[in-house]
Amino acid sequence: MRFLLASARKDLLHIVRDPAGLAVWIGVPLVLLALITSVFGREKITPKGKLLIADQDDSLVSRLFTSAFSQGELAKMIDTEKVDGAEGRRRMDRGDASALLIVPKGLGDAFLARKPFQLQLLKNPSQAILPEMVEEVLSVLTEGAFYLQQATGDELTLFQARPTDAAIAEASLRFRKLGDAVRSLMDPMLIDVRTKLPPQQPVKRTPLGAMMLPGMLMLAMLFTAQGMCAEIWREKMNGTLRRIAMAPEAVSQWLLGKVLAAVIMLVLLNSITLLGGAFALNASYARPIGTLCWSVFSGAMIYLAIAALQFYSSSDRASATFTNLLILPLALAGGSMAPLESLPASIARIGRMTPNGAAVDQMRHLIEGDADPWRLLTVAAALLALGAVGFALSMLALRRGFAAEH
Amino acid sequence: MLEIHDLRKAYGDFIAVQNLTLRASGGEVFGLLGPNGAGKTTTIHCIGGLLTPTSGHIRVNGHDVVSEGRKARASLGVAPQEIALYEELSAKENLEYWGAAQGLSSAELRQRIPEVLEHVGLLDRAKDPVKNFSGGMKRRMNFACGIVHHPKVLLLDEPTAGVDPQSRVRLLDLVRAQARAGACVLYTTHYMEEAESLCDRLAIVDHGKLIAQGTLTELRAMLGERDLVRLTGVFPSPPAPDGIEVLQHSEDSLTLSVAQAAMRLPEIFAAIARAGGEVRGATVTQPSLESLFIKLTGKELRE
Ligand SMILES: Nc1ncnc2c1ncn2[C@@H]1O[C@H](COP(=O)(O)OP(=O)(O)O)[C@@H](O)[C@H]1O
Ligand SMILES: [Mg+2]
Repeated sequence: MRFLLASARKDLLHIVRDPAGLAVWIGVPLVLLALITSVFGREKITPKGKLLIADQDDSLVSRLFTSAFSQGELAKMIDTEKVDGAEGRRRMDRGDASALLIVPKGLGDAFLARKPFQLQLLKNPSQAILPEMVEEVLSVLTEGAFYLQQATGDELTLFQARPTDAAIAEASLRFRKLGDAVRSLMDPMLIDVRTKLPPQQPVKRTPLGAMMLPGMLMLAMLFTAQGMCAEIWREKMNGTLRRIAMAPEAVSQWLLGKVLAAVIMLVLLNSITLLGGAFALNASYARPIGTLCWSVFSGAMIYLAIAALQFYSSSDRASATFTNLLILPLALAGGSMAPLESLPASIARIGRMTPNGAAVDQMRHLIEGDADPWRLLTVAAALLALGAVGFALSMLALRRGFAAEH
Repeated sequence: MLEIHDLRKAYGDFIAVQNLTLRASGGEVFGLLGPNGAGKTTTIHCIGGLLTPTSGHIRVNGHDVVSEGRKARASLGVAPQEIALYEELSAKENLEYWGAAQGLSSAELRQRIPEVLEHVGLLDRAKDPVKNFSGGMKRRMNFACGIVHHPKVLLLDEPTAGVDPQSRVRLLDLVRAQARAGACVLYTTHYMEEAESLCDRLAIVDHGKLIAQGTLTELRAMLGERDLVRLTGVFPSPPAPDGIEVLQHSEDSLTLSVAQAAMRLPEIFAAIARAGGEVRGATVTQPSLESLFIKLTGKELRE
């Protein structure tokens, strides 16, 4: 046991003492993270959304109403664009905007006649925050409008001639302020906002970038495992492994020390990656500790499998080539380059059967909080078996004189 | 303390060591002398339990290296042929690691490490990473990691390979100190002078075969009082005047074993000229291990 700890310490010191190497270890997940962020966006940090407005009424009231979105603080977060109804729906279907506000014909008349009226808001289901914001603003506006309607509706009719832009702006600002002041008193409301979600699309709250996170984490772990496994051949070539094999303490502890060092590195690197994912990709974790533990466990088992490959390669070059050749297709099929959902069904099916793909799949479920305990246990047992076989094969190679071979 | 009985190690069809039998005891330096590829390292690996002998038995401190491997290895210290150290780790950290590999406790190591570093003259470099050491310092470090646990049997595989003469003298002193302290040292080398100055007893090996064994005096006696004459030039046929033994002959070189060679050189030159040859260079060497090796194998130790 003491030798096991000494071995792990030695491996960790070796990594820490080589700053360039350490930078690569930490850099791989960060670079992958940055890559995904730049491709899939970082919704949370620059939440500039697009609000499409289809103003079919085109009256003074509707213009006053909709211009509230292009003023003050709101204008920094939301771009508004006038569209006609059909185009607005098309663009929402493509996911081009955060929300579409439809103001049907007759708002102005209804408002002035103090009759109930409905607006329609279509929200983009793949965005979390901006559509909510638009909805919130709308509710404040409608409350303000209601008050105004009650208090000054008669005077408003005077505005039916063409007002100046400045007058519109000023009036809409008043709308908002009034609304804020009296919103708690509002009940019932005459203008009602009906929020609509496209019915055919299920609600997916995970941002796209965050969906990539488990696969990306696995890719980083595969790189880490491969890099740490290269040490096996290095130790064989420089003679330290031979020296260990001639010492009384068991060589198995040397190998387990490497596994322990890998586990410690994975705890460190995966924590960084998961935290980075939360910040950069707006990922939220239903089970943060469970996710970390699972990632480290699956990474360690995959490390043991990759380690076994090293012991059965004929040279250090061969082991590196062999490992690369294996890792790339595994990463591809196992959802590390693109989420499993987005792969062709046949490849995704194979991908879910690869150790890394199965681990990624379960990691996704842990992150989203909908993991099936039995399925999780089954995959854990399979990974454990893989690690155990890897360890047994490695020990067999060591017993058969791996250290001494030319 | 170290017994090798009829050791044989084959890699497939290739026989790296055959019929090696030797016995070395505490307090002595036993030399294993032979050229590259003679099977010295293979022998060390068999003793260390790294390789399983094809046949034969090895006992270290009374324990068979195959059936009681762990016990045998517990009495063993090894300084491998290559510098088997972690270069990024400091001298102290290396000793901590290799001490742990020998089963030493932290307390034992705390006390022992400064001692060992002092002994090999690296105490002031304890915290430096080994990669910053010179070749000679690395060799001393390689040695230090082999003796950190006071081994009863010490295996040194060409411990002076690639070091400057000063470091070599220092290393040889360290080896002698181990034997004086009671360790049984098996020392492999292809340097004759080292073997002559260091070893109490010697085994000379070539191509995996034991070709001679004994004390230095016994081995010298095998040569008789004969000098070694090495000639270069053109030699169509080997001349053989009375009392001269031809050890080796080729078109352009000739090696002879001759008693009182200096007095007989004119006679040898004349015989060569008569046979149609021509001498361009000549060296005469006093009896030595080198001449013994040439006598026994017909070739130089260092090629
Ligand atoms: N693992 C191996 N497989 C095949 N041949 C080997 C192996 N190890 C050593 N040899 C061969 O055995 C012979 C003896 O090698 P070695 O013991 O290293 O000699 P030395 O240490 O005396 O130079 C050499 O010819 C070497 O090539
Ligand atoms: Mg050798």
